[in-house]
Amino acid sequence: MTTTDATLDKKSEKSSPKKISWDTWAVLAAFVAALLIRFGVVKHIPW
Amino acid sequence: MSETFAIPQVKQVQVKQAQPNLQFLRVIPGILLLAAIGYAGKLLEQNVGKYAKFHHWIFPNIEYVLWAILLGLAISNTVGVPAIFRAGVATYEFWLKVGIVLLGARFLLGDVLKLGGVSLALVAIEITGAIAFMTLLGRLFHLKPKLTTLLAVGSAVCGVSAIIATQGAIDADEEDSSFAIAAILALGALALFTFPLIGHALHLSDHAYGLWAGLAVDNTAEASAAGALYSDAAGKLAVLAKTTRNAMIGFVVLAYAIYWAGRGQAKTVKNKAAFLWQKFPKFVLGFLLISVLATYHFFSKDQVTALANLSRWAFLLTFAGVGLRTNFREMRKQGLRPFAVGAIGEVVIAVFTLGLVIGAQKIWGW
Repeated sequence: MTTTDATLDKKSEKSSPKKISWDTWAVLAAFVAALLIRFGVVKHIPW
Repeated sequence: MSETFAIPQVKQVQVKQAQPNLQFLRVIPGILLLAAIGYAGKLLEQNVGKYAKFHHWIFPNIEYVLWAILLGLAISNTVGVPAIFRAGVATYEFWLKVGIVLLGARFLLGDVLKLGGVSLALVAIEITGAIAFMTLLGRLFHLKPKLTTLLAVGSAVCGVSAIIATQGAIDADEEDSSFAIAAILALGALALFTFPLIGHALHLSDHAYGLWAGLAVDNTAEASAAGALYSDAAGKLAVLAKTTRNAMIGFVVLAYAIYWAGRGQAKTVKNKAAFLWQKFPKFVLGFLLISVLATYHFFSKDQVTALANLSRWAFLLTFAGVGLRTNFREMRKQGLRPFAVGAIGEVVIAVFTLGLVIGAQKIWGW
């Protein structure tokens, strides 16, 4: 874990307990990407 | 401009967080800068070697990881990062976590359990030893007790976020937190350059080196970069070991919160389970879930390759961000004593964990 995210999480804890943390957003973003690849919406990621 | 980037940057982002609609637009220039630097690093890796070979020069093969970090460092420590890019550059930690979750696709669950089990045992020893040593060192150097706690947590568990989580839990001063963060970041930057050299000098295997980087380098971004600088396989293992360490953050912070509350110098933790969940890094769960899905063939072979490549792109942005947010001038301003304590502690922890890894290597024959 790292600076900004933890700080933002701390801020969100104070401002609104229901706010989704950046940590959770990162997980959601990764899963959306994984599902797009899984169901063929994105077929190839070059490197 | 450069003076604002190490710690004050965080405060700026906090302010921007209060305006979610505008924040989305504000991060775009910085994300583009991360992408540009990362991609430039990739191009340099591909072309500098070819150019040197064409002219018959002897030039070491420098990987994109190091190029991206060096380019970021050069910008941050010369012209500085212009304000328009800062909010977006601060998202490098978001990309780090996206990259780690996606990296789960490259680990089968059996590997995670096996390697994670070894890592967990080593992490438990590392955390105990590091906290005990840093506490002793803090006392020897007459640092404030809460600053000592922050440095101990930062070097034992997971760097900057552990320090911030602990600061809130034990009601430590912002100044102490800044000192500890500066020390951890400066030492993380040094580790990027020293760890691969030591690893090569000792002829460590990818497995041993990756574990060592994950155990000894404090901040997740630097640990991932230090691993990737050695090899792709070492990078994978460094992330796994560091993720195991990150999973311990809640327990360590809870223990310190109870300790300081017992002394009447912090708020009492009422709901320990909720406290643990709040502090637990959720990306660890994401990593495990993707690994489970990959193990049970939810993804085809080509899809796993695509996920792995996407993970590399996310890490590319992270490595550019590591360089961009490291400002040596700002770190120097934070003072010498906490840095000295951190440096001595880190060297001892690095040697200690190296011994652990070499011992484990002999036992398991990696």
